Amino acid sequence: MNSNRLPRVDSMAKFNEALQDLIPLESKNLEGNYLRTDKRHRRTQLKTYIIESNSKLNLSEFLIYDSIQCEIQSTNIDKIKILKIIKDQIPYEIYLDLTNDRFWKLHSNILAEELDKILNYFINYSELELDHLWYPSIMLYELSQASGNINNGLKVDYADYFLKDTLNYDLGELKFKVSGRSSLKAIDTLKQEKDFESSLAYSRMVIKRGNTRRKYIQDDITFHGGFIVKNGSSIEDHLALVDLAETTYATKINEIEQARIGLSYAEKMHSFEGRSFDIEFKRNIEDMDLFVSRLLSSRFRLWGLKSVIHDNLYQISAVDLHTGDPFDLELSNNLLRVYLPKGSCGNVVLRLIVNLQHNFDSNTKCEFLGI
Amino acid sequence: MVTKKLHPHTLLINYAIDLCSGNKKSYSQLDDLDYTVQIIEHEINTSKGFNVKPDIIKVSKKCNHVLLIECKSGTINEDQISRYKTMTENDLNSSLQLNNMQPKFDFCIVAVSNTVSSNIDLPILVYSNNSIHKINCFKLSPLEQIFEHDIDLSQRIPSLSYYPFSVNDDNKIILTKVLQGMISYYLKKRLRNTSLDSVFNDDDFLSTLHPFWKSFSDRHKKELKSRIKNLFRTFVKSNSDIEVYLKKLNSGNYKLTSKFTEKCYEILDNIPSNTLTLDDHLH
Repeated sequence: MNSNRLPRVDSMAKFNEALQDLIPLESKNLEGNYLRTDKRHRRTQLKTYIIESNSKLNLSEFLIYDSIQCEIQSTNIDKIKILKIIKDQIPYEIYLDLTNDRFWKLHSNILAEELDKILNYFINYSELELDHLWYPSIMLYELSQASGNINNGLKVDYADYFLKDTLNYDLGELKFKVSGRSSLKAIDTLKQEKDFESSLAYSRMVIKRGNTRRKYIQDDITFHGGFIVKNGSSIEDHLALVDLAETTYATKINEIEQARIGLSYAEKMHSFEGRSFDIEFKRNIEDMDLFVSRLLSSRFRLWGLKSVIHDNLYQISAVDLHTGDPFDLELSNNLLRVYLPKGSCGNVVLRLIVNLQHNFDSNTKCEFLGI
Repeated sequence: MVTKKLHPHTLLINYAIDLCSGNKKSYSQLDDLDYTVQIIEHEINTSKGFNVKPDIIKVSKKCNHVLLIECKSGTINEDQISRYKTMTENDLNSSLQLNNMQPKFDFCIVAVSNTVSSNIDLPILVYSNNSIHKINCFKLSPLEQIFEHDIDLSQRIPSLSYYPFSVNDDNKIILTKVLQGMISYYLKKRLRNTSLDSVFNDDDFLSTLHPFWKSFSDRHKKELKSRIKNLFRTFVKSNSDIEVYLKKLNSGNYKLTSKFTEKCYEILDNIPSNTLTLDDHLH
């Protein structure tokens, strides 16, 4: 099932048809009919992932021979490619939509477990300068409230990565799934409980879109830019949802990058532009050194050198390992200030906010960005 | 771990920029007045034949006003002040070429407490003991109202990274930025066809160390470049481990290890404070 060959499409209509064919026949399933699964009866739904690219590589040379072999093939549509991948001797094919140079879309019905491994491999391959998207909880919530969308559930996933005792991560864990239209109300009730107030970070939002009886789609949208078809069969609604989420994300990245710090030169004058971003927490940092050591780690894709201004104020000269861009941070016990220089990638700000929401305090926010 | 103490002038430049940064948690105070343009070290010729060069000029279209700021960590030079007093609105307009604006202006000194002189009759913003205290009056009344009473900064976090260092700052502060810049440069594989020494003549590299680099005068650039080069040669290039790591980084898909980070801290911990004097880096 994983190795099915994708059609070499020659028009957008054919491309949409090919994607339609990757959606499992759920409506028949509800009536007890055929459901597409792999040999272990795991469902092979259509999944779309958006990834952020700063890559300046020529894609025709995009060929990797390592633990994964990858080759890029053209279709008869200029911006639609097919990634041919061999992993553990199993061949896979994935559609790669390069309509947007910055935000690439991958479409496939490969099992999530395998697709995640392939994606992570590419994202960790530094030459490519790729990254996940990072949707803060409020952005997932707002997507679920957008016109034409209905919230039908969500998933909370929180694990405290900033505990002193690394053997006891599970003490700071909270994971659960809520289904149905009242899910957000249920979460609002939980937010009143002091024990949970810092750990209600959304990892998935279940969104239904389209005519709810006949033609619709129900996707799980993940916080790192995955759109997994769970129900329904409308490829148009799936793609509309993906496009909406992409536009929302691109707008936020643009907002961040408009505020990057640097000089402009006009009329024989140098002007200073940009501003820092204050990321605030409700939870206080108890151990600043521990916090910094966890922050400068592979989880956040950051490297840096810290300097102590005084007990409660640290300065960090950091490097974003996604692009190699340098940037600066200041940290006090409930605030992280980010200085992003001109030319650097804005994705790092959302990566910081989202990882802090899921691993430190789900109330992490940036007022300037409306997050 | 590196303990850091910025030079008072570096601090004051950061405070002056921060005045209209828009961050409620920082020292920002002028958000409501919409000072959106911050012009850096621009020379203004006065009709009386003097030149003045404020550190920062802020422009507010909303208030039709220009705020000229001089940061003073040392003593305030009264000659300099009298030169500023010769400046007229016409001098300002012809120098700044602000489209369709005929702004009023205030000149203001931003200082730390020990530099304040009672003889100066220009507005002075004094940063001390977690507060801003104003001496003398601004001509623009909304500005005067903001600073009418002392402003408590005890719950605020100063912004210290807009202007990361100056030539007066400690070796550790400058070298931390140099190491950060080198890592970035190597990660981006910019050095593939470049020798290490030529990096320090590359304006793009030097701009990654200091966002204001391109606004500095040639003399200022020369001083700072020389200081940076000396620090790198003396404390980093002489350390063979670091060079090996940097070359590996440049060669391909190599990850930064904790051992490398420890090596960086070791260099920073052992570097003497300001071993290089101003004379050293000029020669």
